[in-house]
Amino acid sequence: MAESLAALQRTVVEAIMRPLGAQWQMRPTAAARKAVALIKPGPTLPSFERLEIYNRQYWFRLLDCLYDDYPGLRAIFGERRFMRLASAYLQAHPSRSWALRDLGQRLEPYLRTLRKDPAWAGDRLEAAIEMARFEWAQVIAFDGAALPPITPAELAGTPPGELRLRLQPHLVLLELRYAVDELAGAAKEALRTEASQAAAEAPAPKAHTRARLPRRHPRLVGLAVHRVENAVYLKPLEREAVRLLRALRRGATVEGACVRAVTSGRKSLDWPATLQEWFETWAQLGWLANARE
Amino acid sequence: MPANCFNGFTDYGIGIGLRVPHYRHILAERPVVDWFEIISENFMVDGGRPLEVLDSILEQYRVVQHGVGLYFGSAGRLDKGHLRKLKALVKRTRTPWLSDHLCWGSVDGRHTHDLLPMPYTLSAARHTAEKIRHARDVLETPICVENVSSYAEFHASSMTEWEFLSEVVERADCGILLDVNNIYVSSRNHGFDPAAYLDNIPHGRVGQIHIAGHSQFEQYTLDTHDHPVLDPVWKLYAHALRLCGPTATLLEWDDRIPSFEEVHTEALKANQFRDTHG
Repeated sequence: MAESLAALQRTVVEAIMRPLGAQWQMRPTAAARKAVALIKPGPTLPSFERLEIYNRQYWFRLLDCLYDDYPGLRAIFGERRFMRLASAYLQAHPSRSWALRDLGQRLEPYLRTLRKDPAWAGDRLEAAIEMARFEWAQVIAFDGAALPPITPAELAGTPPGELRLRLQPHLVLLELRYAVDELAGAAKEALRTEASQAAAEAPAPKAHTRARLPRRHPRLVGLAVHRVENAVYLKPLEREAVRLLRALRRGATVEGACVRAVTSGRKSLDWPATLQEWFETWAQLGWLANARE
Repeated sequence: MPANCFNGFTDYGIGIGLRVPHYRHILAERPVVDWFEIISENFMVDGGRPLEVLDSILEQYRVVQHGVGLYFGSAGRLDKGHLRKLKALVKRTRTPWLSDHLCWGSVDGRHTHDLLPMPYTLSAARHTAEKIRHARDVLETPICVENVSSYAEFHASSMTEWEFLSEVVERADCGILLDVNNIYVSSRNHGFDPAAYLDNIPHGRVGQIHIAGHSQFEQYTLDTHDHPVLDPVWKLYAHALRLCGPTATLLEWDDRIPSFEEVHTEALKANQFRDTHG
C-alpha cells in the first residue's frame, strides 16, 4: 500500500515542484498532466487549476523564505536576477529538511558550481558566494547551540600542551575578500525603511532593487559571526586569530594551535601579549567551551 | 459530554497563537491569556532567542504545541531526527497534548513545506494511523490530528474526508484538532455540507478547535489566516460546540497580523459561543 501512496505522492510532488510559467501560472508539462489525471475536477475549478494552487503555494512559500533570509544576495544580483537564481537553486536542491530555516544551507556550494557558467561567472558571483556564506552564518549564529563556557579553573587545571577546547557551535568564522557585511547591513536598513514606510501607507520606490557590488578588501579579512545574550553580532578578527580558532575547532591543543599561529603569522606582532589578549577576549565572549562537553 | 483522554482539557478556554510580532508586547505587558499555542518547529532549535522567549512565556503561561512537519500521511517513515527534537521540546513545554495535521508534505526526502490532502482510502488511513501511534509512543503525549483545508481531491478516494478522519483517529486511538475554518474552506472548494462533516465525526475525540479567517476568490476559497473569523465559520463553531461540549479553542492569525489586543479581542469572541452552546 505504502508503495501506491508513495507513487501518488511522487507524481504530485514532481508537478508542484516544477517552476511556474509566465504570470505565475502552472506550465502544462508532462509531469503536470500526469498529476492532473489523479485529481477530480471540482464544482468551480477544473483539475488543472486545482493542482495549480499547490504549484503556486510551493513556489511562493519557498521563494518568500529565501527572499527574506538573503537580502544581501538580493542586493548583489538585483530582484529579478535573485529570483531567477533562487528558482534555479530550489530546482537543483529541493528542501531536504523539515525546517524552512535550512532552506539556504546549500546556497553557497550551489553558487560555486555557477563559476563554470559564463552567464554567472565573474566578480559579482564571487561576492555573492561570500554573501551566501555570510548570510547562512547569521542563521547559525541566531539559533545554534550554546555550550557552557569553560571556567577559569578548568583552563588553569590543564597544561596548554594537553588542553583542547571546543568553540561555541553558534560561532562562525569567516575570511572575506568583499565587505559583504557592509552591503548586507545597508540592504537590511533599506528593508526596514521600506517596511516602516509601507506601515505608514506611503509607498516608496524599492531601495534594494538595483544590483550592487560590495567593496573589495585589499586582502582577506577575518570576521566572526556570533551570539551574545541572544543577539547576533559581528566581530572583526585578525587572520591569524581565525586560523588559531579554526585549529582549536579541528581539535588541536591550545599549545599546538598557538605555535601554528605564531610560526605562520606576522613576525611583527608581540605574540605573547597578542595571544593573552585574544584568549581573554574570547573567554569573556564565552566562545571557549570544554572539549569534554 | 463526559471528559475523556482527548476531550478532557475542559479547563483550557480560549488561546491564541504565539507569534513574533507580539513577543515584545507579551513579555513587557504580561497580558492575561488562558494559553498560547506555539508552532513546534519554530522552537525546535538548539539555542538562541526563540528558546529564551519560550522559557519566559512558560514561566507564566500554559503552552500547547502545534506542529506543521510530522506529515503523518506521507508514505515514508517518520523522521527520527524530527521526533527527537520534538520530544525535547515536549519535555520543555510539558504540553498536555500535541497536534499536527492529517496530511502529507514530503516524499523521498523532498519537503514541500505544504499541507497536502490525502487520498481518502482505507489503506492510506491504516498507514497514517500506524504512524500516529508510533509518534505517540515515542513522544509519550496524547496526539490530536487536524483536518486541513484543501483545494484538490483525488480520484483514488473511496470515502469522504470526514469518514477518512474518523477511520484514522479510531485506528490510531488519537484525538482530533477540529479546524472549523478548514472545514468551511474545503466545503466551498469541494461542494459538501460542512454541517454533515461535523455531524459525522467522533465528537468525544475532539480535543481542540481552531478558528481562523479565510479569503473568498472568484473561483475558490483560500485558507489565509489574515482576517477576523467570518460569520459562517462562527456558525460552524457554535454547531461544533453543541456536538463536542466545551473545548479548548484557538484563533489562528498568521498573516497581516494586527496588534496583540486586536487578535486577543477577536479570539475572546469565542467565549460568547462557548457560554451559549458549549
